[in-house]
Amino acid sequence: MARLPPFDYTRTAFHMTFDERLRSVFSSVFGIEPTRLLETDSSQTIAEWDSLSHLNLIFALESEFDVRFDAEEIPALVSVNALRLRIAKALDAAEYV
Amino acid sequence: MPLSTSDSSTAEAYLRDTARVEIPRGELKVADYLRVARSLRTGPVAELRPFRLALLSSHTLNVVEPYLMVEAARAGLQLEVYFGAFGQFEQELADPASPLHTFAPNALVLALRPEDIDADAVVRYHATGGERFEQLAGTLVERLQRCVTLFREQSSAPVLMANFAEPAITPLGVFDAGAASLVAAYGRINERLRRGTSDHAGTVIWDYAGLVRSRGTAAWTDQRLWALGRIAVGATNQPALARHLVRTIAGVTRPSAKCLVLDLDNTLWGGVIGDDGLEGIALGDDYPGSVFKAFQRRVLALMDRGVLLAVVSKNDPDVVERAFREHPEMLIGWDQLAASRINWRPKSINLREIADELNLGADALVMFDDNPVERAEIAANAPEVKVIDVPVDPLQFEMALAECAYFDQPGLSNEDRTRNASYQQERQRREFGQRCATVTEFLYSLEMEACIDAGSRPTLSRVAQLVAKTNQFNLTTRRHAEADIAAMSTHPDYRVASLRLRDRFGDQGLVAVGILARRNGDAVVDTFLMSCRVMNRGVEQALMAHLVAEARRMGCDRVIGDYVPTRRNGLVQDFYSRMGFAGVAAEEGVARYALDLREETVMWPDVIRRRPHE
Repeated sequence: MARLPPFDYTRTAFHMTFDERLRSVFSSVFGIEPTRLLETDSSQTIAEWDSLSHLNLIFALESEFDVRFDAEEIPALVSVNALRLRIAKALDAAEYV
Repeated sequence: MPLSTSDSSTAEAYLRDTARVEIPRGELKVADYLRVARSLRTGPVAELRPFRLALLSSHTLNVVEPYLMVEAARAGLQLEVYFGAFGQFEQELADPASPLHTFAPNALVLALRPEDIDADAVVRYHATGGERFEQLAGTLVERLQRCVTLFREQSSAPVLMANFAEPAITPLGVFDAGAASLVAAYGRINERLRRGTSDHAGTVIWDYAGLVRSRGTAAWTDQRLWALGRIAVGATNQPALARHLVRTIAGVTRPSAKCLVLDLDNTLWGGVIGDDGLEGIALGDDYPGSVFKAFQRRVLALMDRGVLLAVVSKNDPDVVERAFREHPEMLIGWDQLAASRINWRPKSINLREIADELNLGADALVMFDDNPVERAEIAANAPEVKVIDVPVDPLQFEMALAECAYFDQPGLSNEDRTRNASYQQERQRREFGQRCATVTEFLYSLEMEACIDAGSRPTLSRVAQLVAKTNQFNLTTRRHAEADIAAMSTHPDYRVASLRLRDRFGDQGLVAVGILARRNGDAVVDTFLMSCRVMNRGVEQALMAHLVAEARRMGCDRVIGDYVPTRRNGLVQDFYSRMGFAGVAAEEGVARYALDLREETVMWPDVIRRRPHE
């Protein structure tokens, strides 16, 4: 049986890469210029990243990438890198990690 | 380099450069809501009216703020939101120096959930045979009423009380609808709340229960959010909640439109009557005609609640009138139309004429037209007219009409229910007037009777409605809230008077309002307004005669009247001169008149018989 090729997450309807989409969401939530977002950024480096905006960020990422985080992990996903890895894992797109 | 706190100036600079506040239409993604909300926070936006909203709730609602801001912007409001600490209603409301009162909200939302106050009463409903729940219901309604009373000591802003949404899980599960239903108990508590609210001026129900039901009870709460932060509204429902609440607020705080203007071809029926003929248009019980028949029924439902109907269409007038009178499936009657313009002129011109004919501002008209070119022409040349963004698919027409908020208004007055009949009476009056030889003969033979009311409870909502809506025959255009008018009606230094008119053709209802205030020994006319439907009949003189008599009873020697010009009230600029008042000096932007009661008076007009209070 022929296997379907893996879905190319880099080509969405908007032809944005995974990284661009991720940056775009962070930019919307925290008002940071997309290109200035660093992998090392977290709730420690972004002043606006408080518990309330964290939940809004989580919803925004869930709806953008059609993923769902567990209640248990949500409080821990407070860095760009942690979220990026977690979403990439959910999308089964290891090559972008 | 990571973006740190000290780097926030860079972030601000970025925002300054990029934050043109464009308010997108249609469905938005979460990130879009957050982005637009962000730009709305950067400063005042010229085209939006600032509005402060306070929410006190028994569950966390802060997370909804961005959605509220964006949905409010779509409704023309720039929202600033204050969230009280949850559960702390009375403390905030009782203290005049509390953050809530310092915030001075333009509207207050009270959102209590029974399960937040006493989970056992709800979840273990049958432990006490429902008794504990009934007690809780009584406590909650009393508590909310007490909150309104406390708030009223500081503010007259409208209060929106969330009603109670039935929970997703009920003890009897699929058999809840049988005996001892918890859902039925929620229905009873909501009815209790409704009755409790109707005694409080300026208080309306926010139909939270209806919102939850329409979105699906089971899908309403996201258990993760409830567990993490006592957030009862799931993320996917937050935009809908914001839309619903903003629509409720707008419906309470702004005047509703008065007339629905309809296109005909491919709007009230399928096809083009000029080409397809009476037999060729789609209108009936089978698809696609059924779609248009269903739409007509919705239109008539709007008429039932007081919306006037009119048609504007590029067509041959005889063909159209014949369709209305002779097509067997036509639900809307030709005589039910308050006005019509069937011709080939631009629709914007026809709409302005209809506004004039019906004595309405163009902004009281809402156009429903399937043709985007016509809609664009109206938007360009009659921008005050509200134009519904009609979907391409006629199957969506009913929902488009239901979703347009222009006709929203809290409550339904008798005048609303009978408005269309009274416009029909008005046509009869006009025809009758044309048969009379003189104006005086006409007025006498109308056999008018007026009855004056001093702001009694049953008239207040109609009085408040007139105060909120009347633009043309309105001397000062002061928009007092219902709660303020209620307070004035019992205050010794104020007199509230409303006039109800009846004539041989029928009851015109409550048509004029006047408010007197005692200031430095003078009786000042704070508010004087009248529905334009009864112009030139002596009604304004009758009400003024009453106010003058009241001023004497208050022991005043002068009546002072102000004319505050607006874009719309040019009609009444010489009103006080006509009533025999003399001009006196006043501050800029006001024309002030005085009537010396020791020498002058205003006589009750002979053409109106005064009827005692009913």
